[in-house]
This record gives sequence, structure tokens and C-alpha cells, in this order.
Amino acid sequence: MRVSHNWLKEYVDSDLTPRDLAEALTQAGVNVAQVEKVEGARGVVVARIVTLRPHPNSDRLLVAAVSAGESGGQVVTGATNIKPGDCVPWAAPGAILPGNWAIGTTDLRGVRSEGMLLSETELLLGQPHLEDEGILVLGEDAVPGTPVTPLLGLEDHMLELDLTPNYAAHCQSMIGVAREVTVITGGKLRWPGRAATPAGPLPPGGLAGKAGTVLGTAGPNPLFSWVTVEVWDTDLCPRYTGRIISDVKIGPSPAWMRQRLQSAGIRPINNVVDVTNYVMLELGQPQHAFDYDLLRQKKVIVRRARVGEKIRTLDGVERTLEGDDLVIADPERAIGIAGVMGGEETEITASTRTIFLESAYFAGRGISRTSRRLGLRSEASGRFEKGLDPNLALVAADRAVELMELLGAGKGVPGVVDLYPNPVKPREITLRLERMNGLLGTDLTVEETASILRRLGFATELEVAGSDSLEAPTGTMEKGPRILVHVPTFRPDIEAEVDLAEEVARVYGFNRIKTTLPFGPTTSGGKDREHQLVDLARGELVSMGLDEVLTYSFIHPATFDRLRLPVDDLQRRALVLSNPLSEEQSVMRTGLLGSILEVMAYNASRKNADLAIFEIGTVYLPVEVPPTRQPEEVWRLGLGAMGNWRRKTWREPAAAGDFYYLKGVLERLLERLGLEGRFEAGQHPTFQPGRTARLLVRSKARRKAHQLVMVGWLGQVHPDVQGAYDLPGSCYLAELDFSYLLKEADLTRTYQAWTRFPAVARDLALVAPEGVPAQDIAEVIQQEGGELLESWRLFDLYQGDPVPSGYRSLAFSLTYRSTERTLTDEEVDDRQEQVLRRLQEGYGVRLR
Amino acid sequence: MRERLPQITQEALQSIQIARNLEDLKNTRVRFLGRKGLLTEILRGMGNLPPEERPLLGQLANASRQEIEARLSQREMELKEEEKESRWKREALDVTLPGVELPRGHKHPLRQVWEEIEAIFISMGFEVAHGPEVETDFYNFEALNIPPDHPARDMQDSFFFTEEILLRTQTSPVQIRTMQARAPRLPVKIIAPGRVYRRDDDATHSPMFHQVEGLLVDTGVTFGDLKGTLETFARRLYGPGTRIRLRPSYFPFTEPSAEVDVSCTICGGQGCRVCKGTGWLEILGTGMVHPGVLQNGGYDPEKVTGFAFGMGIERVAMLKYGIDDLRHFFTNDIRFLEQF
Repeated sequence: MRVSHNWLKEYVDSDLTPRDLAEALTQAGVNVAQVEKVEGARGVVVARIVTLRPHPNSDRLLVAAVSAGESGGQVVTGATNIKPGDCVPWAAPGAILPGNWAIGTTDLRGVRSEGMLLSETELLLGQPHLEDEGILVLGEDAVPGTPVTPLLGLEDHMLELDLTPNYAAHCQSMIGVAREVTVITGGKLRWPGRAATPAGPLPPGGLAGKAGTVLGTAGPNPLFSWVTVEVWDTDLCPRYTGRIISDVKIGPSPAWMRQRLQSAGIRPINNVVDVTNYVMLELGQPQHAFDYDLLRQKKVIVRRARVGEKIRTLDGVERTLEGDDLVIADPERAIGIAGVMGGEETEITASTRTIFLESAYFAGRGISRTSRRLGLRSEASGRFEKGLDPNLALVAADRAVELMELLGAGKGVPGVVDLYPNPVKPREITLRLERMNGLLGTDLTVEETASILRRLGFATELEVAGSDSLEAPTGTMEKGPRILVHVPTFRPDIEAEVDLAEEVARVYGFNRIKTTLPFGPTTSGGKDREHQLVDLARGELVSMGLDEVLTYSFIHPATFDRLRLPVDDLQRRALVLSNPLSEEQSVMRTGLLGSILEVMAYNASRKNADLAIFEIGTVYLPVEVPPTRQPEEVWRLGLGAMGNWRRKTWREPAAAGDFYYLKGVLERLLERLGLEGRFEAGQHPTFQPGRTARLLVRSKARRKAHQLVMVGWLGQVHPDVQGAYDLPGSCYLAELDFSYLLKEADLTRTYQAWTRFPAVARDLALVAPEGVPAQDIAEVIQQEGGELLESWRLFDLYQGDPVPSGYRSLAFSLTYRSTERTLTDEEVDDRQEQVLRRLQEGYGVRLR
Repeated sequence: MRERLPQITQEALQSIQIARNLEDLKNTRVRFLGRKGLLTEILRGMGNLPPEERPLLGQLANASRQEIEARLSQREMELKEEEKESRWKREALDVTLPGVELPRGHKHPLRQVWEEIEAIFISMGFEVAHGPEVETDFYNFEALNIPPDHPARDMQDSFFFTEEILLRTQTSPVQIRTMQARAPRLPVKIIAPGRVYRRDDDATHSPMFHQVEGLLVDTGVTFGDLKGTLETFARRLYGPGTRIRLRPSYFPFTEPSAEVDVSCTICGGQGCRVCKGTGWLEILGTGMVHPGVLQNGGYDPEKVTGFAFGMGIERVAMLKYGIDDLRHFFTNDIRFLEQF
């Protein structure tokens, strides 16, 4: 909501500058997002008309000579209401009127016209001249040569409110905001004038039409002969009031009203509609004016719509309604969607003579449902949704009649329709002072508290401790004074004691409440093992030079195809969002490969060719599809590499981020987590055949008791997958079940003393058939080397001349050592021979 | 013989003088002082002299020898020094050549900030708790005082799977889950970081982002304690001079509720582009836990009170690093990642 500071001052006095007021309102919870200075017309000065003579070439135009202090000029005008000596607003050349309308010097039928003399409308709204409106003649106090805007109070500040839902109900009106200002300043609220033709005293329960399911007490109601109103659905319409305005003369509303509507963002239409909107802005009560003469059978029914019932609304759109929508109808058809928008058929037009004015209280939830379903939000529906004061309806109807009479738009017919079967009364809530102080950490007295509440418009009564006039609430903190608070009906958001505590706190000032630290038993703080291990692994990967990425949890459904997963692949069983923002983000991921590939593709497209990345993230594995239960959320580790992980320098050659790079990363990570891993050739649709490995893992500490478990894949990305992601070069990926790694990880380490006995180093240069995996050879070396083999390393791999084709040469360096004695050459030779013999027999491997 | 001695001495000293290196010097030593050296020979030839001449010549020869020795060792030191100097020259490095490029990985900036926030609260005795991202309507809304049709559901447009199951729009459901797991034990003192989801996507909104939730429930917890805790946090995160300010706000699950501003981390409160001239930056939402929420968590609101807070990790990171577009966090351009 946009609040004009000038307009606000009609309801409350305040010495604060607009900015200070905005700040104070914000501190009190009425959030002012922005203060905007509005200058109105610029360059318009007071000018005195010196002479006025006829235009030489026109019967209807005059030429005025004006003086404005030190300057002056001649202006052509068509106005007839001015005479020499009058002071008028003169837009001198260079002036800018509202709407960025720039004024210059023109030639009007052969006579030079320097700028123009302005009507009120032109001055306020910057719109072109209306038919009969004359030039604005200023008062005696106008001083020629001075700017006009301060004189007319046209300089203004707009306060842009960004209200939270709890304040929306009572602050969506000028009077509501003004009330908050009085809370800050302690000033008095000035309620706008009373109806010129009041509805008259009301019998209890209000007045009602003749028939219907809900009737008030019948009484001598002058409206009785005009209209009958029935409310069939009081759950959606707890109160309905209406008045009749006769002798209607439709025309534009005055410039000041149009200017106010416009400044608040509402388009002026005509005097009647403008008044209903004006009252809505002023008091917060939405209203609607129907053309009385178009009401069939002079009867208004408030009822639920029939399923499929149609109505053309004011915006010219035909709407189809459902059974939960509330409509205003005459006996033959719907004439408006209650609280949302009126119907076109009973719209106010230039020929309207009589008006039926509706000022009702509709239930917020119903309005919200309807406007949401129809995608039709209006100023009215927004206000109903947030909840109104039901006791405002009639006051607002009277105010509208008063304004219409003031504007000469029509005459209020005495009497009122008021269907209000269950009047809402102020709520009563007990506020326990100690409870409130205990919650806030304050030390407020009864007097201070009650005074704050009264400033807010709440009535208070002191309840003495131990008084039995109220039923004691269960629980503790029963000692101390209690205040019985009567909550006015314009504050539907105040429902419980804690709401009152909040009101007191915000008016007292959050920033005045003393800052303390909680006391209580010391708590250790910290995080669980799982998350500690995740952090450890992330640190380890970063220390190896990989960059951590974070990607969206949702993916494109085509990801599964891009990854070449078969139609029956389990990963395709994924949760699907019923209302995604885009298809790209519509499925919850069941793996990380797609996400890692997307990051690689994004970077590749931006020429970031070298990259090594990882993500430890959650995937969502549905227990059932569609879900009636939450999915399992498990950890995965995804890795990706392309280009070089080390660039060529003056000292070192480049090192490719390839299969063995990622394998090394994984090996080191597993080692850090205390896990033993084993890579085996495998097949996976996303990876290139022959360049794919399965990773099996078990805990080092419990290696004897545990089987190796498959935890993931590593490999070069399949060319078709690379194609689908538009990735150049070669890319490598790995994905691991990180939840399993976390479960099995073992960080315990035990010190091992090293021996003083010397080591014996031996090399073993082998020639092996191509098909023999290096790991098989290494395992023979380990088994036969036994406890004497301290370590081994593959230090050379060679293929080509002089190694015969179909073979490759592998060179191992082995270190033997005993913890008990110095080894003899014979012992070591013996082991070497055993290794060789088994390799020869089992694999056809021989010494080079 | 007597006449040859000064001549030999002279020769030796000259030879020492012109020795270019240790090798030359060594040869000189051998030539004069070696077993067959010239001076040695003179000394050896002394036997042939008349006995009365021997002491004098012996004296002279020894003196010569001492002088040669002294000059030799002095020259040796000089030559060693020269040799070092020349080695220094030979082995000199271009110290301006670039050092070895060690691989350096980078934690994601969001995770860095996340860890920093965690560390601060852990040091204040908070435990880190977690909950599922795919939540039920009950935990995400109902248990947090947000019944169907509540306007707060509009504030957080949600992603749904079914009517009942959705992506959590906030980390607040962890409050309820933790309380339910702990009740009636006290205190409940947790933070809950994690992913949250809302249907928004532009430069300032991401459909997925990260929050840290905080919750303290105990007997006698006050709004003042909330202020103190958050002030301590802000000073640890942004520096000791940081001030905080609270503005009333609205959250369905807290009352009173507040938005917390910190004095601008860029200008210190003078007013700048980042704080839009206000001197303040909004960083988190907070409030006293609503009695209904305590009840849903299994605690008696007449006996305990609590405060809760929530902040967006992206927001904190953007302010900390001066990042102007939220989307950078999830496109993972390595030129972005490698800056932190």
C-alpha cells in the first residue's frame, strides 16, 4: 500500500518528517519499504494577470500579460473565469507537469504563448484541460513569482508499506496507518466526517429485507420499499449492508480526489466509483456500487454460485464459477463475484440514475479461494483476504454517502440494509504481567503495560492477583497482576496473550529491551559423526586440488536418457514435482552423475577446459512412486575431471585429469577414511566400455570379517553421453554411495614402531600377456612376498619393441624387511623365485 | 746454500701468490715443502755444512718454512673463498621464476560460510541437527502454526509431490522434529542448516537455497536472551564493532517476531550502495517460539519458553564476498569457485 504523507495528516498530527515517521513506523512493525518524494508540478509559479485582451485571430481565445515577480510574459488562454489582478498558476516555459508533460513556448494562431495558465486538474494530474474547468484562481496570500506547489501543499512523500500479514488487516487504510502514528506520537486520531444524510438510528440486530434465511428485526425501514436483500450463506457473508443513492449525476470526481486515488495506484473512473475506492483507501472497507435500475425485481441475493454459473466481470472477461464461490445476484442472475469484482451488466454508466451501494463483510478464506482460483486479485479481494473489521461496514457506507453528497454525485436515501445476525464483539484476553515480562526479559509495570495497550486502542481492566472473577489458566506463573484486555474488532489478529505481549514489546521498542545471554547448564555443542566425516572428506578432496560444487537437487527428466540408462533402470524411479517451475527442474535426482556433467558442460561452454570437481550431496530414493511416504535421503559423492589437473609449467609437464587421476583421488580418500578399496573392470551404460571400473570397499579394521561391497563406479564418459552434454575432449566421472562409506569409515589409528633391521630392495621386471590385470600380478607379489614384503610399487609400464606384441612389460620395485632379523640374500631370492614361479604358472608371466 | 735459501723462499712465495686454484697451491706445496721439495732438500743438505753454520741456517730455513706455510694456508683460505664465490655464481637461481604450482582445491563459498556459522554456534554450545528435505505438510506447515489457507503459505510458494508431501520451504520443520525427539528433556539448543526450496527464480531468488535454523528451548529463556545470542553471533561473524537492530515482523511460528539487521559490513553504518544508504543490512528473522509450536514439539508453553531464528546462507555469503547474483552459487563456474 502507498500512503500519501499529506493525506495522512488529515487524520493525525505529527511533527515527524516523512523519513523519521517511516523509520518510527518500521520500528513499530509497520514496515515502510521506501519513502518517495513527490514534487508534483515543477517550474509552476504564482503569476498576476496584468492585462487581458482578445486574441487577434480568434473569438474564443484571450491573450494575458502576466507578471511573476521579476519575470513575466504573455500567455494565450481559453479560460473565461479570470480577470486582471487575479493570481493564477503559470507554467512558465521549462515547467514540467505531472506525467512528465513539458511546457514550452508555442505559437497559437499567430500569437506567441509563453507557457500556459493552469486549471486545477492540469496542476494536480498533468492531464489536458477538461471542458468547463477554468483556471485555478489562487487566494489572497499568493505571492507572484513564488512557486505554487508549496502554497497548495503539492509537495508530498509517498510511504510504500510492505506489510506483514498480521498488520495487513488493520493497516491497509489511511485511518489504520494514522492509528499507528498516534501510537508512536501519542497524538489524537481524527475520524473523517459523519454522513450528511445518516442512515438513522438502528434497531438492534440491524435492519433487513423482507424475506430470506437470515433476517434482522423488521422495523420502519425507509429502504424497505426500494430493495430486498437476502443472505443465503452467512458463513461466507457474516454481514451485508447496503444503501441507496438517488438523483445520481455521473461525472468526473474532483481533481484532488483523482490525484489521491492515482497516487495510491488506483485509476479514477467516475465520481461514484471513485468515492467507493476512496472510502476503501481511507477506511479499509471495500465497497461496490450497482446500477439500481438494472437490478431485476429490486432484490439482491447473496449466495453460493451454481456450479458452472457464468458471469462477465467488469474487466470484460467471462468467468465460470464453482459451488464455493460467493456471488451477489438478483433473482435472475449473478451480478458480481462477492469481494472480488462486480459484474459488467450492472456496472455504473453515464446514464446511471440510482445506485445500490454494497458495503459488506465477506469471510477472508472464501474470497482468497475464489480469487486464487480465478487468478483475479483486486484491491478489494486483497483486503477481504487479510480480514476486516466487520463493524466497519456500515460506518463506511455512511462515509461513502457523505462523500457522494459532498461531490454532488447523488443523494443518500435515508435507511439502510444491514444483515448482521451474529455481531462480532471485542475479544477479551487476560494478560499476566509476570508471564509477559518473563517472555520479553522486561520489567514493565502494570501502568506502563496498560498505557501502551490503551494507546493501541485496547480497553484495559486491572485484575487483582488472586481474584476469582476470571478462571485461572492452568500452569504456573499465577502470581502477580493480570490485565483484562478488550481487543477492538479492528484487530482480528490479536487472539491470545502472547499476541498482546508482542504488541507491548513492539510499542515499547524491541531495541529498548535489555540484551542478555541465556543461562543454564553448559551444553557441549557439536555435530554428529556423519556430518563430521562429510566435512573431513570434503577437506581431503579440496586438499587434493578438487573444487567443491553445489548443484540443484532437481534435474531434467531427460537426464536418464542422456546418461543412457535403460528403461528399467532403478535410477529412473524418481520423485516428480507436481508443480515444477520448469521441466529442467522437475525431478528429484537419484544420482549425481547428471549434475556433475552439467557443471562440466557449463564450464566447457565457457572455455574453462581444465577442471576437477566434486560434490557430496543428497539424492532422493523413493520408497514408493507416487509417494505416500517421504523418500530415503542418502549421501552420494560425485567426481568429475576433464582437461588437465596440473597445467604445463616451465618445470613440469601437464598432468591429465583422467581415469588414473580420479582413481588416485578415490584411493587417497578411501585411505583417509580407513577403507580398503578394490577396482574391477565393469560395465555401466554411462561409461565407455573397457574404460569402466566398479569400486568395492570394506573396512580395513574389520577386513577379515567383512565382504567387499560394491559402492560405485568410475570411468571415462561414454562418447554418446558426452555428445548429449555437448562436452569436448575426454571426461571422467565417478559416483559413490557415500552413506555406506560414512557407515564403514574408521578413523582410529594405532602407532606402529619401525624396525632397526635393514631393508632389501629388489626390482622385478616382468613381461606379461596383455590380458593379465596388473592387480592380479600385484596380488601374487603380495601373497608370495608374505610378511617379509614391506612394500611394492609399479614403477614402469612399457609396450612395444623389444617386448613382443601381445605382451607388456611391468617393472616392480619390492622392499623386503623383517622386524626380527637382518634378511639374507637367499631368503629374499627364495621369495622372488616363488613369486615368479606362480606368475609363470598362473598367468604366463616371465622375467624380462 | 745460504744464498739459495732466500731465492727459494722468494720463488715459493711467488708461486703461492700466482696459484690460481687449490690444485696449483697443492703443487706448490709439494714443490717446496714436499718430501723432495726444494726447501726440504736444503734442510736435508744441512748435514754437509760445518756444524757452526748449522744452527743459523736451520733458523733461517725454519723461518722460511714457517712463512711459506703461513702464506700457503692464507692463500688456501683465499682460494677456497674464491671457489665458493664462483660456486655461488654458478649455482645462482632466478628467484623470480614462478614456484611450483601445487594443486589447490576450493570449498564452495556457501559451504565456507556455512562452516563458519556452524563453528560460531557450536562454540556457544549449540548442536547441529538435521531433518529431511522432502517433508510432510504437517512438519513444514501445520505444526508450525500454518494451517491450510494461512496467508503465510502464500509467502512461501512451495513445490509439491502430492498434497501431503512437499519440499520443505524452510528449515523450521527441524525445530518440531528435534523437540519431539527430545521432549521433555531441556535444554533444546540446536542449529539446523540445510537446503530449502521455494517456487521463485530470478537474480535475488533461487528455487533452492540454504538456511540455518536455530532453536533454544529452556526454562526462563527471554527475548533479551535472543538479542544477546544473536548479537554475539553477529560480532563473531562480522567483527567486534558490529551492532544489531531488531524490527518487528511476522512469522507464524514465533511471537513476538523480528527481523534482525546488522550494521552494514561494508560501510560500518555510514550508508553505502550495499546497504542502500540505510547503514543496516537485514540478515535474519527471529522470534520467541509460539506457544502452539512448543506444544506441537511436546513441551508445555506454561513452563518453558524459547527463541528461534533463521537466516539464508546465500545472503550472508553474498554480503561477505560482495557477490551480486545469487545464480553464481549453483552454476559453479570454476572462475567463480576458485576465487574463494
